[in-house]
Amino acid sequence: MMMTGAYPSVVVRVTCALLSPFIAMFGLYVIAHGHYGPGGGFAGGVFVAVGAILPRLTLPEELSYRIFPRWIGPAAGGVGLLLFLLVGLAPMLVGAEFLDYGAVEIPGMAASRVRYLGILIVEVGVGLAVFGAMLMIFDVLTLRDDDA
Amino acid sequence: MIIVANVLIGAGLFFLAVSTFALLIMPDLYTRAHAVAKSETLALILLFGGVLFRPELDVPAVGRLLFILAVSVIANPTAVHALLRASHRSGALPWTVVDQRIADAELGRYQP
Amino acid sequence: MIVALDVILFLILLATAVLALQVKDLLAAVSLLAGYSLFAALLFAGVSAVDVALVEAALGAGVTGVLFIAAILATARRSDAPSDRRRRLVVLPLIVAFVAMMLFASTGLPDRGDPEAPAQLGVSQTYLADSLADTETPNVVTSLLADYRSLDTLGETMVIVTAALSAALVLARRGEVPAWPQRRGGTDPGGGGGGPDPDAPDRAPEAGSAALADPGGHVAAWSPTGESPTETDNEPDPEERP
Repeated sequence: MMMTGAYPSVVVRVTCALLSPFIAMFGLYVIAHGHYGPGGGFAGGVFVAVGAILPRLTLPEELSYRIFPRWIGPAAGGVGLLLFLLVGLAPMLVGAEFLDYGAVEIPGMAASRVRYLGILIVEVGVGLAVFGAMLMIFDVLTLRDDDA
Repeated sequence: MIIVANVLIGAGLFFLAVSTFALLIMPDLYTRAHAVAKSETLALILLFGGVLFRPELDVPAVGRLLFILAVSVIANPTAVHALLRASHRSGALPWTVVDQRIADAELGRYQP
Repeated sequence: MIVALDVILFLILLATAVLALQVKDLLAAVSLLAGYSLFAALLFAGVSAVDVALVEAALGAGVTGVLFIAAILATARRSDAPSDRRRRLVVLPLIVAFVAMMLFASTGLPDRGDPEAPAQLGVSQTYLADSLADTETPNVVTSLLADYRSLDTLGETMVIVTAALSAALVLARRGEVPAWPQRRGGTDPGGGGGGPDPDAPDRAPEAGSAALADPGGHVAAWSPTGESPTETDNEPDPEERP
């Protein structure tokens, strides 16, 4: 009994293929909208991961692993964490403290705007990391020997 | 406007109550899921339709409500379908009643 | 928040938690845990912790269930519940004492939303007052997490990615582990390898023929039904039943 691969019922297949892009898009909205409403990187990353896991549960494998390949889990986790660390390191280049985004001076931008931008990049990094972590765990739990 | 909205919301609540009632009195998984899936989806449509008629809503809220309604009307029956399919495949038999007279007749023992 | 609604939600929460501990079928326990997370999310939303509610609903009621089910499919479906009376006699008073202690401690907590509470008197005043001017972010939770306290968030993210990586590293090698019975001397392949014993009298025979790792290394060998009359459209997989 395998968990991934094409689900035998066409109703479930079509519905999940229809819904999963919207779920992933809602996750991106939650990440980007964290400044103004509930949400942020953690919740949004989980939603995007659901949008990637749902095709794996229901669609044929050659299709679902083409949309979100296996390497994308570890890659997104690492890139997200790296993004966070780089945003944290950027203020140190201008002599400020770690993660003090406001100290970076971008011409034509107030310090508060720079912090706003820093928050956005941090949320995107957290979202990528959470998305990658969830996808990584799911992929390794459903791993089979023939595609190791 | 408000009267239409309230009537629709009331009808939706009625169907929600019916589906809960069915969940309690129906004998097995298949009949319960049948009752709940149908009447609850209908209740959802009625409730959202009623809320859409309320005068407090602005256009973005109406759009969001319609989107939520579309997603739930698609996802709710599909979830029940997948659930029932899985239970059927794993061998759960539907609830049946044996009519003693028909069973006797089929066995050749029926005496009127 | 409405007190009556809160009480009802708390009771349902308790019921789902106790039931999830009681059921022997782990699949049912996973469903109950998903329900638990959903009601917890409703409770969080009831006290206006919308950010936490969103995460709880997405993670607890969504992804965690899928991950748990994947783990169950890869291992065994039934739990060997400890039905030891003496252990229960020891554990039960401990639980009661702990709950009583927590309840007693909760009487010293400030009311929810109390402006005189210690948590409100410290630095949080500054955060609430300055968030909009400092970071142009109306949602204080976001500016707290990603700006004022971003070192904590960095740590959290590191923990998440590290945990996922280590889980992946441990689980990705499971095919290479030699099966248990062969190591012990080659007798009894497939059975007794830590999976549940299918001959145990208190279990239904059709639910739990799981082998932890058979000699071929096929790990995820769980058949949901054993032999059921309606199983005609399964993909024929000769490796599935050892």
